[in-house]
Amino acid sequence: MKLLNSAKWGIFTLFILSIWSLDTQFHDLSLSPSLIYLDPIWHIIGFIEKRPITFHLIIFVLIIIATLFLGRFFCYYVCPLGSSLDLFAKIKGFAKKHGILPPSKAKALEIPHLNSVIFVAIIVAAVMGLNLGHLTSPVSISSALFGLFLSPIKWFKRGYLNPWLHLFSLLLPFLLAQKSHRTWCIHICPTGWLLGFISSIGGLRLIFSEACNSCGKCQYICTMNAIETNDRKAIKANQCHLCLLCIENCPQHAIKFEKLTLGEGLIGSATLGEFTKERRQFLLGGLFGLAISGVATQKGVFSGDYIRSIMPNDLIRPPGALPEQTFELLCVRCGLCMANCPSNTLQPLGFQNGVLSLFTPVLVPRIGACYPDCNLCGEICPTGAIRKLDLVEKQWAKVGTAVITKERCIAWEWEKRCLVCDEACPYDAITMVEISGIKVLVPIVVESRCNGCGACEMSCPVYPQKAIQVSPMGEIRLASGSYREEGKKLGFTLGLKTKGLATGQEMPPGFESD
Amino acid sequence: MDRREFLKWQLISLIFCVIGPRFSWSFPEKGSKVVAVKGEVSKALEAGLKELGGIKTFVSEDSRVVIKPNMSFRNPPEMGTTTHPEVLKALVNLLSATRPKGIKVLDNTLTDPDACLKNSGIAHALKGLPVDLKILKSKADYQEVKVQGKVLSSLDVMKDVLMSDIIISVPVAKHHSSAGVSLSMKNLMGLIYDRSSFHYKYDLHTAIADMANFLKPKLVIVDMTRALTTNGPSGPGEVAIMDTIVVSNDMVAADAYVTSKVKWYGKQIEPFKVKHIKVAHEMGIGMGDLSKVEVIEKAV
Repeated sequence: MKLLNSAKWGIFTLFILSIWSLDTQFHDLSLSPSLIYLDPIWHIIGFIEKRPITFHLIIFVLIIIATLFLGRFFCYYVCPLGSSLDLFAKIKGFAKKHGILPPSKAKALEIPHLNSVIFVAIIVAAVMGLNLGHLTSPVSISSALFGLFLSPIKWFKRGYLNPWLHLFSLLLPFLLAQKSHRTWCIHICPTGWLLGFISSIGGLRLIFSEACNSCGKCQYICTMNAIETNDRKAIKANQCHLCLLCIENCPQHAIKFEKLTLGEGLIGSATLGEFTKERRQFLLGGLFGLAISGVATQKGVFSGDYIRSIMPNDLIRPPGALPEQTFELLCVRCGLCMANCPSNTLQPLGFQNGVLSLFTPVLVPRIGACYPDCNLCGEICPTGAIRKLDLVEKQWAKVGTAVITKERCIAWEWEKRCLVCDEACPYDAITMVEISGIKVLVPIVVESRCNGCGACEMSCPVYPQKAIQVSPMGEIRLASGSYREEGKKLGFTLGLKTKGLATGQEMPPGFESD
Repeated sequence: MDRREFLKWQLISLIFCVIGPRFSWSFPEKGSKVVAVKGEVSKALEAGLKELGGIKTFVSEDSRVVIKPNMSFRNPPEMGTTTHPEVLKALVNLLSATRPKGIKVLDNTLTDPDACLKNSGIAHALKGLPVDLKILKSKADYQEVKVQGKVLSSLDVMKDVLMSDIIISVPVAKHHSSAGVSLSMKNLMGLIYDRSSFHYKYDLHTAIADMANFLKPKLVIVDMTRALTTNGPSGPGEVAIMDTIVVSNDMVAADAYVTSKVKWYGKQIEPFKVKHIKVAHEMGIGMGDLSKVEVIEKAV
């Protein structure tokens, strides 16, 4: 028991450390991209969308096989969201015991089993080319929770945009944690439903022996509502996550393991009845999936192509992001790229590009610039929604183009000596030119050299709206192939600043000429 | 102490409080001296300071020292955009021998602080030395002070700086395409919170002079081991190897001297062509006219 529990908390600690090590000097040690693949749902959606198969498949195979024989152990021992819910309940219990929180009056939440509906809806939507898995994937939720919402680096050092939107998606499991803190796992989680379904086929389960006197203690203790003692004594294999609290606490020592042959469980016990009951929910889920994907991907009033083709001005995707539709499909919203971004320019998107792009990463140049010597977002992206690029390729992966608003610029309009954008630009995409009628040198953008990194926008002293802003115009989005070759074809020369040579002026820039 | 005496003392202290600040202590240092020493960094620095009377004339056991290097760019030291870590290391070693109360190395970097400290080699060089290396980018670390300048009326200065006894400005010699040169005066802008207003609100050069007048480093060490002569302040540009450390008790004189010694864009340029040196000279902050400065050049 103790050993198993320490394994559980060990896995949880490893997960948290893996995510909290991002954006620190230890980020190379982080296991987080692989940890995203703990969630079987990403493998299934990956099969449907024909994503390239990686060695991470072995995690999926191991989990499914282990679930067949052991049951839904994943939910208690591996799932980081489950462990965080357990931790949350422990903290709440501690607070109540010491009078920090009032004693609980919560009743068990009366919500229907939505998990099979959600699971089927996600699968159907994936077949229709829409990614909804991130909304309920426990691993995505916990990685965004610890990478952004509860990350010490974001809290104390960097901050991030739109945290209040995260309140709803990330904290829903915690808001549901009323009487049973695993309400979310029982009623909502589609991964949990899938594993429960597999384990109801499977080999090992808990049963009552004759010693049981129906005292009901186990039913009271069970966090997964898996035990029925009233009319039919049974422990539901599809809900039991093997925390073994019932065995530990049974006064009669009446609960024990029973071995079954594969398939016997499905036919022999209550689960078959439940399965037929769920048929209706399957149909319902399928309809939901069809409806959502139909509305979202077809032309129409609700965020159909007609509306979505109006791109927001500031939808600047990270360098190496796949073409928009594929990108949104592949992005699992784990938030790792944003957690690992050393200049904090990658931020979760709000509703600007429709509900379907919620929490996808965008560059926000006013917060930071995407420096040419960094390609960490592509390195960490677990699904390849942001491609892994070497540094030269990254410099050619143009994310947009800087645009100067002359009426705002203090050199153009106010005739102040300012060259901050030129100074900041790592690509030498800004030149200072002499214009007759303006006393000072003024900046212009050389579009063919501009990578869209946003260093100019970040440093521009004009406020509140910057005089130089990056717009997605001119971005290069490739599903495959070299950005360098594509960029050359398009006539760009993207490279780092070269040494400045003496100009033809009387005096070098900055000195008084009179 | 009877009541009468008490009131008398109160009156005296009131008069002192009212009149005291009206006196200006900011007249130029007598005997501006610039020492330029060619040679190995730590020896050159020590020899240069010796000419000014040794480090002990500036720093005593009670001093809280602030060192302001230029470490605002995420470039390696060879590019000449940041102060060479060896210069800082040598300076800190000399300072710590006098056992001051505290040595702080401060800046408000233009770009990502961690990358700046790492790439410039400064974090590595100062590791294990008794210094407090801090990059302050939060408004809470700054305090607004009133200044009576030509254009500036207030400044947000680092609290650490306001509490210090001596500021040592340790710039690298480099070109700056707005300010002409970025030397010990321009370097001080890294101790201020709102630098962009210098560019957009005021005349940059006059603002620099006003700020330098308030902060007034008593000691200036210009890292002229190499000079970025073109495409400053961020580079990359031409880097001239000069192997010289310039030490001075007068920042205007030091800046004027360095401006005259480096060939900017291959040109010999007079110090007064840099407007902030000219303005600072006219304001009496320091001596920009090199003919009236005691210049000592030597090699070790």
